[in-house]
Amino acid sequence: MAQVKMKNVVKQFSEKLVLDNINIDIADKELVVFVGPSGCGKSTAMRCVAGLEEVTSGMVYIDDDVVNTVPAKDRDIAMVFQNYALYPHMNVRDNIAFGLKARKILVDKDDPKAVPRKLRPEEIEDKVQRAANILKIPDLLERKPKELSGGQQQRVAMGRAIVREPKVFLMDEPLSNLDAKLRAHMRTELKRLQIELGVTTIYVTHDQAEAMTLGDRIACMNEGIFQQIGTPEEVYDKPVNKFVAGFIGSPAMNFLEGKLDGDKFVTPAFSLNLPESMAVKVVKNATNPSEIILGVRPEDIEDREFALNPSTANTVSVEVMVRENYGSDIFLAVSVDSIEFNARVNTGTKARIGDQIELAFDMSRVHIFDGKSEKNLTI
Amino acid sequence: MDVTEEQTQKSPSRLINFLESRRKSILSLIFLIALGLTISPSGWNDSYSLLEDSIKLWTNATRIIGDTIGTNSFQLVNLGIERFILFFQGMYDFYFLSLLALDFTVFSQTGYILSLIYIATPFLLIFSILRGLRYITSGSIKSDLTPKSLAIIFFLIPFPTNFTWLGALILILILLFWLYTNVKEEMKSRKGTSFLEVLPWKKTTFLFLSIIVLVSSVFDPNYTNVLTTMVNLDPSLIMLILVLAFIGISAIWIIVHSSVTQSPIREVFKENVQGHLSPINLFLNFLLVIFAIPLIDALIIQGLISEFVFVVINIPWLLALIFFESFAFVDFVVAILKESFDVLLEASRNIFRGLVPVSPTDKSIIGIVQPTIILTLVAFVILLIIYALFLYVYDSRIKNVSVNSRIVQYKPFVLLIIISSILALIAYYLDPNTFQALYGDPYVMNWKNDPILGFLFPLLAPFLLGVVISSILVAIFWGVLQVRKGRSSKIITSTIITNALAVSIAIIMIVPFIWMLKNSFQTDLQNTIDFQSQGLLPDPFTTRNYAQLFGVVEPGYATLEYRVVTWLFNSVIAAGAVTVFLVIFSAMAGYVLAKREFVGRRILFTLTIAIQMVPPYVQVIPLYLELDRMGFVGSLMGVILPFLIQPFSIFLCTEFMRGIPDDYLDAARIDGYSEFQIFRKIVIPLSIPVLSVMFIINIIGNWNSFMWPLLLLENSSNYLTLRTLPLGMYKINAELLEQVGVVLALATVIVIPIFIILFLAQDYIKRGVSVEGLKG
Repeated sequence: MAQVKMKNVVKQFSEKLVLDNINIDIADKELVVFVGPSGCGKSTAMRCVAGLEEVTSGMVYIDDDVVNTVPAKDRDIAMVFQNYALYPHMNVRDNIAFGLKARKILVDKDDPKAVPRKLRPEEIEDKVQRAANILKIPDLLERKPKELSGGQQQRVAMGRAIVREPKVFLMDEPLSNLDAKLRAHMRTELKRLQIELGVTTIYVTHDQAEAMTLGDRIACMNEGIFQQIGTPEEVYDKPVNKFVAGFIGSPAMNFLEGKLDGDKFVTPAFSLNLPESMAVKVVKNATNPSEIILGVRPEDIEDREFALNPSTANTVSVEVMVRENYGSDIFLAVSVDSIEFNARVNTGTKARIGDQIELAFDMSRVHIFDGKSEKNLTI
Repeated sequence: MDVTEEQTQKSPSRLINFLESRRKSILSLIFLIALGLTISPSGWNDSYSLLEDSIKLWTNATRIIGDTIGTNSFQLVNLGIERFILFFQGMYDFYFLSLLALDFTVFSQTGYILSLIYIATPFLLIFSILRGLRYITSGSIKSDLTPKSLAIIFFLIPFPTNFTWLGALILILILLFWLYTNVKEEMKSRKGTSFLEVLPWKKTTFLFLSIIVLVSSVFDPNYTNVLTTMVNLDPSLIMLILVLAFIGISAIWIIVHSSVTQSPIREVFKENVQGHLSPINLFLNFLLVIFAIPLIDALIIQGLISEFVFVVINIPWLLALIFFESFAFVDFVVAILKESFDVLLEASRNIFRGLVPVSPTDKSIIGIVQPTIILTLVAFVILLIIYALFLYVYDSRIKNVSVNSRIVQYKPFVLLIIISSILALIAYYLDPNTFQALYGDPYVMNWKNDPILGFLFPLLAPFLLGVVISSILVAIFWGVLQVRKGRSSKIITSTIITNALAVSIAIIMIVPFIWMLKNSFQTDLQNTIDFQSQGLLPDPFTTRNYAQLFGVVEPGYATLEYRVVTWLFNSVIAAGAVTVFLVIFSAMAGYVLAKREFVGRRILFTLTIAIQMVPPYVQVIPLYLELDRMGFVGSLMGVILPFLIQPFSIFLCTEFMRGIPDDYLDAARIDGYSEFQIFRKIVIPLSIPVLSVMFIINIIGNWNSFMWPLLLLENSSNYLTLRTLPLGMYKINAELLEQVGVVLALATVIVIPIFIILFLAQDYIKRGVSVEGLKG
């Protein structure tokens, strides 16, 4: 029922430019994740949508209405905070009901004569019960926030948001105070809830795994600018620049500096054959073909024994420095001369620390970035 | 069979639920019943007349306030209009007598700023006329002719006293127009509804009342007392009729509404009444009734209606006065404030006299209740036992509760029964009648002649000695035991020694209080004896000092003027008002300084801290002079007003509220709460620790404050009714050298409230102090 649009939004704190002309168009019922390193302005962007910060210039739309001057309380949004912001002096029931007691809302939507009014106590109780049932916390209603575990507090904070039935949900790193296992669990719950309720959601996080798993679309942000907005697949497979490529994916993408020689990517230590179409694009787009960066994800580097199509053109002989066994995969930190990178290889590998082994690159999946502008030259 | 059984099972359980959920109110009800049962018919008559007197006092006070406000604002509005007309006269003189005669000295004569305004005004006038003309010709005037714009234009026209009728007439027309547009819009927005359904009944009632008032003011040639003279009825009766009419109109409206919407009357009633039944709403309505009805009475029914109408239709000219004669306006506000406060205070003081006797012949609630209090308590205990038994029987029939939880459940009952019984015993024992019967004197007890007490009381000294010795022995024994168990003997010794030291210091500290308490129960003769040879217990024991203090017996010296009850009242008002408002204001200021962004916040905060460095005694003389000019010397207002804002409290609040996470406030903001609601519902509850500490510190400080009341109150003509307790203590101490017992009884009375507050609030104090400590 609600789209959110940010158009040329600029936000300045005195001298510091926090949001630099950002644009995004969020469709109804969509979950968009703002992801980026801390201090990149993603929380500020969300707070601009919430109305907690005034934008310096630009327009924020909710449902085609400009809401720049609309105070936060009239925007019909609900927000989940990182520390949950549960009021310690109220029990869970009052915390959830808190947002319902404030404003007048249009209750009887079918009745044409109806005017907005405050909810009656029994209606509030009904809504609170329903929200509690959705979140599976009906037995916690009488407790104080202090007596709850982290996960339960998180659920109550969610309850406070969903009970309002708002146009837009805003979530500001809601899972970052939970331990790893619970976080994974709550992530699934959140996704299920969002699909079930069908409310447009903006989700802010610095955790790229959360962004990948939760988002319908990911808005990757750095230095106050949306670097790339797209589906998780797009952002992962076709990163527009070096920042996005390096930020999304764990462990991070390897970056190797080198130059182009014909259709060969040449580093001081070794050279790799690029696919022909890629080399053409690089020559066409690069500011300087002798200053380029090759980006390759660790999972696209394999032990030669297990690689699909090993050849001398894409194989490099390296020395193993660190070997990490994750059970499902083995991560190797390797070096050739002074160039270091990571590889994710099959568990069957015989590589030991100090060994010289051969690694094969999947050259169809590498990216070439411009050395100056850091733009992806291969898409 | 089954059905009936279920029903019989159901009804007591509902009753039980009701009784349990309303336990506190039921207990208070029982107590009141017990109290009411034992009061004699003459006592009831007395309380009726007391109630009547109180209502009369209150109504009179509010009426006086209404009158002052009415006449004062009449004069002020008149002055405002006069000044406005004078302004144009001055402008006329400026242009036609001086400027046209080319007399340029006029600029310095009228003053340059005023000359500038004179010069600018015609241009402004021409400009606005041109704007108005363009507006009219542009054709959008019809849609802009809303009641609101009309009212604004109306209020911008000054109506002198001779033309009040015209203003009133236009006002009626605007009001009718307003109602008409209102109904029309409503009908447009809700199609298919009848006229009656959308008629806003509150507005309509208000409109008709105003029309009555306006018409009566217009048709009265003398512009005075219209309603009363016209209908020739008692003003109170008119008031009653108005209230009844209001109820009647509401009833009619509900019936009409239910017939139009075809919903049962009960539903309509429930829908419209339910929202107004919260305690806060009821309290506000109560306030409205006790303040507004006398005010309406004073202004409209008994007062000068035309004045009232005149003030209403010319209200903006009160603001014009701020521009022309700001001092007159400030004087007016201050005078209204002070006079209203004094009048209300005087009324409440007199009402308070109805609660507590001031002289032995006074009729008072205490006088009415006092003879029956023993019977009341006994009756209460009996009713309580019956109630508990009743609950118990139903409980055991319905629920399967364990014995343990039952004990927990009935513990408050048992406690209440024990406390009431003890109170009954004390009330019985301290009753002058009992004293008279037992010892031959209503206030003095020679316990040495009593067979039981005479035996028991001398045992007190050996008993105390035994307690001391045995506690020393217990401490040593405990220490030895602990050392045997393997704890370090050093730690145990130091624990015992520290505790022993603390206890002995505590005893030394508490001795003066015990001495005060003991000597307040001794006769004057006894008090003259050397302290060491007095003995541990008052001998004879007497309550005469307290009786004399509270005016139950005649004082030994007829010339003495002391009114402890009045002083107690003054102290309660002064300390209470200062503390309550101080806490509220400090919390507000603290919130703003801690959580709101605005220009100059840091400077303001620094200033707040800087002001703390000015010693209070430096401020005494300037403050006194200031208050003297404002007319607050010789009024309790002068004791209250300067202390409502205290930098240290603001500083404390600010520092505490900085610690409240911003997310709490943001969350509430998003949830739709206004800034003030956030303050009230979130910031205040979270700041309870610091607020309670502030409350306690300030109430103790103000309760004991001496110098400022001495300066402000003691020199006024009616100092006797204005003194606070510490002042009274000071005077009594000087006058009553022979009656130390009475002085000490007064000291006890001063200490007791503080003691109770500290006792009740000790948890909060601990929490608050620990919070402060953590914040460092």
